[in-house]
Amino acid sequence: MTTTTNPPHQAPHGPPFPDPLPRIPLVWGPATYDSLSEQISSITEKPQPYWWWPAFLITASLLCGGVLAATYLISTGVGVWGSNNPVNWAFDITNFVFWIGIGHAGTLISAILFLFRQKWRTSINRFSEAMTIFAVICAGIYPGIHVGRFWYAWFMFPLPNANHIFPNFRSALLWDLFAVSTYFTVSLIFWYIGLIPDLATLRDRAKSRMRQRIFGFLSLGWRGSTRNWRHYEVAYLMLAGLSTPLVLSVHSVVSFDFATSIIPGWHTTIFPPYFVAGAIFGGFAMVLQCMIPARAAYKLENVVTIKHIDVMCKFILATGSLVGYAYLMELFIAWFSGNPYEWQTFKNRAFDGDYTWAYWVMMTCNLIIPQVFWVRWCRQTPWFVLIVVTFVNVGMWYERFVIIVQSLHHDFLPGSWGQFYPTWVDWLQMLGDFGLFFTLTLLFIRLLPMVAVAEVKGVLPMANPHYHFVPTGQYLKGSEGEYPTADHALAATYGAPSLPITEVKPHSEPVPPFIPTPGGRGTPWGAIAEFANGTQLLEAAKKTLAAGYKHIDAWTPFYVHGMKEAIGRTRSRLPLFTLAGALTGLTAAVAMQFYFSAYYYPIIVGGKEYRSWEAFVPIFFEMTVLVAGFFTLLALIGLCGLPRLFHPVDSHPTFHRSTQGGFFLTIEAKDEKFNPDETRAFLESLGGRHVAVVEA
Amino acid sequence: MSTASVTNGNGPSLSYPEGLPDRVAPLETEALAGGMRILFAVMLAAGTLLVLGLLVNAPQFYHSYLFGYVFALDISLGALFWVLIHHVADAGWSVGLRRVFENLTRAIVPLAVLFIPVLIGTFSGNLHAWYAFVHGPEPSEEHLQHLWHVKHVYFNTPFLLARLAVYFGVWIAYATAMRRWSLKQDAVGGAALTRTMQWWAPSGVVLLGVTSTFFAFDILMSLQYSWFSTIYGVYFWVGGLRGSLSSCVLIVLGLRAAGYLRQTITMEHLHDVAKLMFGFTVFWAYIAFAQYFLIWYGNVPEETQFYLLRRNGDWYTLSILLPILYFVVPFFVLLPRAHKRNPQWLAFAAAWILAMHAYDLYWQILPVLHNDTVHLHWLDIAAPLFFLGVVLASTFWGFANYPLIPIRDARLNETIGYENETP
Repeated sequence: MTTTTNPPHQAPHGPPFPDPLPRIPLVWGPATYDSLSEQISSITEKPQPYWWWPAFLITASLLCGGVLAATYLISTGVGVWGSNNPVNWAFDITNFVFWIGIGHAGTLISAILFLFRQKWRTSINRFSEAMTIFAVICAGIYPGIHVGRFWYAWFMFPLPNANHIFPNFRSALLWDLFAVSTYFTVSLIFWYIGLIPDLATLRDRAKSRMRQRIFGFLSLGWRGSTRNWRHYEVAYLMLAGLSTPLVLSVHSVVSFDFATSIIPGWHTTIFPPYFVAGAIFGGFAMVLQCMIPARAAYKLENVVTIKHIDVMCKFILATGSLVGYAYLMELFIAWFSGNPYEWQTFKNRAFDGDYTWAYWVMMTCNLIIPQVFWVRWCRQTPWFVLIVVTFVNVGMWYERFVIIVQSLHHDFLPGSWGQFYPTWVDWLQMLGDFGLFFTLTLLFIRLLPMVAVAEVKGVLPMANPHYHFVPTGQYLKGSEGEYPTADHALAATYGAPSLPITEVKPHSEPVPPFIPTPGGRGTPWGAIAEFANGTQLLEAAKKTLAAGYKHIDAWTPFYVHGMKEAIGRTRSRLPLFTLAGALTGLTAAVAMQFYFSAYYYPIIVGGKEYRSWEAFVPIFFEMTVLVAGFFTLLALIGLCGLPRLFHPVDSHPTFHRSTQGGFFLTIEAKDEKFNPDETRAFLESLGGRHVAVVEA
Repeated sequence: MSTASVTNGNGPSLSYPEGLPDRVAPLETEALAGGMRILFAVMLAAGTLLVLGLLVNAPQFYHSYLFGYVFALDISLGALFWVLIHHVADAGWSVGLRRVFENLTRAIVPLAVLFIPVLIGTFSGNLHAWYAFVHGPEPSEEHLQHLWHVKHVYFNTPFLLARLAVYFGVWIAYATAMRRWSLKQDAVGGAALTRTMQWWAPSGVVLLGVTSTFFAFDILMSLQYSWFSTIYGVYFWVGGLRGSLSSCVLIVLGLRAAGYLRQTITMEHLHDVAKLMFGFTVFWAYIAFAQYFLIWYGNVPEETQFYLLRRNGDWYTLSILLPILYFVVPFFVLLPRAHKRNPQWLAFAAAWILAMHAYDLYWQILPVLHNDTVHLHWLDIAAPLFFLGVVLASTFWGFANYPLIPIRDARLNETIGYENETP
């Protein structure tokens, strides 16, 4: 095995064309599959650093404050909040929209950047997906408690009340329920599917029986089989494809809460994309807010590099500019339309109203301050970034406050103008959300791998058979012989990446040729061989297939490109299940809404016809995605034959490395060509080590 | 292919790197001659018809002209966006395709000149109804006075002309600069020019976004000057992105069919372009629905006028067909992975989207002239054909004079032999 210190790199042949601007690897400095598994997994295995418990106590106290505020609200009534008439919505909806928005960055990173093949996402996607889920939980509190009578929470669901009237399917608030619950469910599925290989790594590293059982159960018996990987990769793609329009729809539906009314400042056509851009903007800020301290505390600078922070800052700049564009459009059209109500609302917001200060807090934090990210130093100095993203988070909270409170306090008639003053319960509830969010984040860091280790392994230079390793002194110097940018020079100071491992890690004692399985049937299950790296395994698999074996499988810590073809498999059929789920969900949504709104209890709301399909579209879409997501998860589990908690290969003494840094090839005994001795000899002739036949 | 200096037709003398899988020298003039003759014949015929149309029916001419004009401009602006975003994202796979987009932006300069008839249409009172409104006396009705004051400021002639000059100035400056640097890199190679382009591109995206939005407001949205929609700029932008992607696919497939770039821009690259076409098909539906839905739900007369006008007579049929033809059909055509990797399906999808892009613009512009129902005029065919000719002629002028791909781009290694890793 290669040590982590760097020997002189060999350059057998360079890239075909001059490469004056080499790509900077995503992980800086030397790193192997094993070192990454160790670096990330050990965080959850070792005792926490000294600051963890004090931090947890603070966030848990804030959370208790939130619980107290909610209890007081429910026991006393909604009057304990500052919400009044005309400002019926205030802190509650502001917090709801704020937290839903925070979640959007996670989905952007995990799904949209995946579709755009932005592989730097692998270092941060786990963390931000977890944040998505926690943020949606924070937001989900409000629909439940905001009228102070949570025992009527079932009014939100499509269930008939005592008069057989169903909830209004033409109401944005009902769409919100479908959107947010779909978002939560699909994000959870996506996050869980991403976690499976890493949970298996934790299982295989577990020192205690308890951890082994818990993570064995949670990982469903994942072992990195290529037959599973081929479904897994497609399932991941399907979920990314579903999540991408989903994330756009969720904040669009949230924007419909406002934009479908005709209140000045709310009713404008740019609201859906404007809210989505704002959500991603605020979400990225929150990811950095959490990631920068975590990165420093757990010494993850080689995995979440300065370059990652730099790119995220660019995203903040880009989405912040989109939000700025939306502000500009609103302002311009308010004037251009010649609509006096729109114009007076914006004048009131920006110049002469009671909440002008809030408007300028929003403009300063969201539009002006992030412009510093045009400068490289500002993007690459973590403490400075931390300050800027704090402003962005404040600004995004104020954006929702401005939209909601300012428009409500000053509408068409001077007779219905009013003011809003938050009470201590409002503040306590809001702080409680932050307590909940950070408590969950701290627990997540404590219990689960905060970086998607399996995905990061796949983007290491050593995982890329076409990567051109160069002598250490030349590392990241382009074909012109110098560092093309300051980023290259900075990355080079971390050292060159580790060379591919060319020798199998030796086992402490010799592996016997036949390995019995506890409670085995006496017949062989198949032969196992270990290889040093993915390229060797790929070659061996191709030769095995060419030799006439059919029941082959390759077991790898991450999906090796081309491996499914090497073991004689084709593309997974899983997309058909996703499509079936999508059609099922769509049909159900069409049937449900038309039946309840137009036939079962026809009712006119908002002057819309019974069968006005437009108002049903949000729920068409959400249910399509929801059921497609379920079908994808079930198809993945079913097609992979999971959960499989016990397997004959587990008896092999080094096989547990298949989820860390080991590459294995198996030939099953049911293969016509299988013969214990010949197959074993064949695998050895391919360069396999630790070759053994295991009992079924 | 040798590294020695090669003189190619009327192109500059360049040294081509060794190991390129295809001949990427400028297209030979002889090979192009046949196609160019047909193209110029079509343009000449369409151009003659346009002149004839101006004499026969001036209002119809100006509306059809604007329709054809925006169709072409949208494609070129979309192409400029893709060039800029390539640099912003520091992309590698799309280096070869970038030259196609760079050549598509060549149409912006002739289109700037061809904008003059639109201005004549406006200032002769044939095109934009606001002209008569703001140049008339202040209305006596109170509800119109406010509108009049606003439009009076916004549409006063010097301000309007200054704005248009800024729009075209920004587009020409960025399109020319990006193209020049890219062509210069063909001669000198290295990383410096890549970094220059990457340094300038983000500001270009911002400026392009703002200028094309206000162009859409000034020229298209103002056709019904009391109507307004904050999302209209985004709607215009998405149309251009879809149009330029489809044009790129058709040009590449055409070049490949003629034997060029077969190993350089492969189905692996086109698969990715097809994914973008699919993605922006969905995005268009999202934007179109957001605009329609919020206006429908709010039901405020000054906003619904846009859709009410498009419910008159046969416009209603066209309105219903628009989402089906422009979203549902390409969605299902481009959904299966196999279709995205199949040249015939892809050519069909691209041609379809391009045609539906024209349909969309027709639906946006012509109802203003024919309030009652659809009156398809021969000028509505001649104008887009003429402007498509302008785009094609400018693009192929580039291919005839400069290498077909950026031959010494810093990211050449990533685009040649690119494999699409989508599972």
